[in-house]
Amino acid sequence: MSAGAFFILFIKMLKSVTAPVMIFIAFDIIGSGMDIVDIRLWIRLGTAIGACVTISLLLAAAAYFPRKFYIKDGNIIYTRGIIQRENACIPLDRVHSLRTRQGLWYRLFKMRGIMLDTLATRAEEIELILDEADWQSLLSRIEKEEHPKQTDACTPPEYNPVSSIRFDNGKLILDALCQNHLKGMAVLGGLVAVVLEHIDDYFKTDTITDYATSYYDKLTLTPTGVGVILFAVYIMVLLLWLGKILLRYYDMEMSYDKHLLSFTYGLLSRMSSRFAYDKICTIWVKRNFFEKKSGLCTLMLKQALNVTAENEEDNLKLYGADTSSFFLKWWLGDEYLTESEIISAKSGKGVFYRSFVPGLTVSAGAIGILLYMQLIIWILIPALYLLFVLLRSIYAMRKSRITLKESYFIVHNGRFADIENYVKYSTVEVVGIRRTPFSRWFHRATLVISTPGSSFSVISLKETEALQIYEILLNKCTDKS
Amino acid sequence: MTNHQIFLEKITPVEDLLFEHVNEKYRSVHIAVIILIYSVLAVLGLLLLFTDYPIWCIPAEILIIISALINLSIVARAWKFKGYAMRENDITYRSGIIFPKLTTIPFERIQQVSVKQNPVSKFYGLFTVEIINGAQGLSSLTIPGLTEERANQIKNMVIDRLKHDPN
Repeated sequence: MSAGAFFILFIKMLKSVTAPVMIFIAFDIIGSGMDIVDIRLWIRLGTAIGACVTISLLLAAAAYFPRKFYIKDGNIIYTRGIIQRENACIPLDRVHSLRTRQGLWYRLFKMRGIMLDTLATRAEEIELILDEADWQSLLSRIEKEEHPKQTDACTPPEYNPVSSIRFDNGKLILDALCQNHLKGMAVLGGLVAVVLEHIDDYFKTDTITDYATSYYDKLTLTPTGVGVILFAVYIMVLLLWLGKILLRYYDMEMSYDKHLLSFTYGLLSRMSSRFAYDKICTIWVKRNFFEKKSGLCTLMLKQALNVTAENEEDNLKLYGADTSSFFLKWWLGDEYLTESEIISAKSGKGVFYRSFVPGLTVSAGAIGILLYMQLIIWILIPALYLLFVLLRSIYAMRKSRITLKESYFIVHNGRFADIENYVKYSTVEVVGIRRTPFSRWFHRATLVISTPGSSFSVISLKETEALQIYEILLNKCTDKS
Repeated sequence: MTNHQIFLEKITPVEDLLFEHVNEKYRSVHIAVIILIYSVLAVLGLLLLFTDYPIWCIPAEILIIISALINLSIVARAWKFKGYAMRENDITYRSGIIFPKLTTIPFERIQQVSVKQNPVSKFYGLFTVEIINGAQGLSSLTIPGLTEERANQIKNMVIDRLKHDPN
């Protein structure tokens, strides 16, 4: 990298160093009560500025001199760091996209900041600060090295909708009612936070406190009173949840061809999402008791996320009629249901203990405290919670299993609801086996599978079955025949 | 769509592979790191002397010393268990004696390979190879305690495999 890169690094370091030093100096000067004409004030300021420049120069030198990059045998070799030395090697054909940055300082020195994106989700961002000649050279080398097969795969399929589906709003509302309404607590929490943020400090501290203090005795609640309040909160939460679903997913339409699914949805502002066939890595299907009885399901198409993806919001959830067979046929092929099963393995009691023990600890603690405080009637709440946790753990144990078919596998999980994750072998990135200190006695292990957009842990499988599945997954995910 | 039969008995189980150990000097790195961490904790524990409950300093220090000794006693076994193995299509790393872990990444899923060195491993002349893939979880596989020659060998082998088998 040229000398211009050093100045840009220096400016970056100066920006990050100056702010905290100046805040510290400002507090120091205000605290000492020095006058603006006091020579000591100017000496302190001068020293601070000098220190900032020196530290920034040292940091820039530490970042610049060990930082080297070159292209050799079709790989970008990148060296950096003094304390933690790193020599990274990225094959040029793995570079997925190049992002450039040209702020004011970059333009002044005629430089360009280049960020290389691979499909890696976790890799630290590498910024190369290059002049125009080096940038053009890098660009031409990457274009030359791109593998023809990969170029085809990266070319977005032509968008040519051949058919469309309109989702039923009635079923959307019905399915929203079938969900866990307590999710609306998040909406309520968000609203309360906004309200509290906008309440005037005076109102918050004085009026509310005075009111609560003067009526303290009357505020003592009976269990019936608590029940009424909880019911009112539940109704509010239910309405907020319904409102959220309607605002977001009302009037959903989908156009599709064999390469692409395109959705438009939303009540007030219309949003759109696109899912390329190649980018989908998991189809998540959930059916709870009410959904099964009403012929509904919740479905999610999980896409590959890379380092630039912000969050999992890209994973659109489809509430309403059971459309799972349509999406599964589109993604896995028409014969997906008739494919033969290679192997299937069921989780053991480990799932139950993992789910039950934390709940048991919380309940036992709460019961202990309530007994100590002699609030006997209130023990009903942790006791009911314990019963809920017990049922949840039993269902979790019963539902957890993995089934391997010829071209895909299904990870079954969920507690009260049945959840099926359909994954193609071609999307599997890593496979792992995890054991615990108890494995030597119970011979159980956890199978971990990760794709670019989802990760699964199938807990408490028989060790032999887990290892067989481990091998089959590795074999299948590299099988090109 | 393919429909090849899979014979489970024909697959070489990954656990039957001969795992290569990391360098012997890595035990010293491990010991140095444990001593460093527990020394810091011991110093922090001494701060209790300046609080209203200086007596708590004694159990805190005893707890820290016992934990350090337990950690030091398993270093040799942990080193013996730690290892890596390469097959035709993938690389596997095994670690952990209390919570054993086995992780395999197919070569064709690898996105980036780095050779790293921190101040402690630099003192012992050892390197770490970090293999990064595009997964949501387990997004990197780190093999510590390698000589420079071995680290570069692994890096070159992986890169070479990527070249011969681009996805």
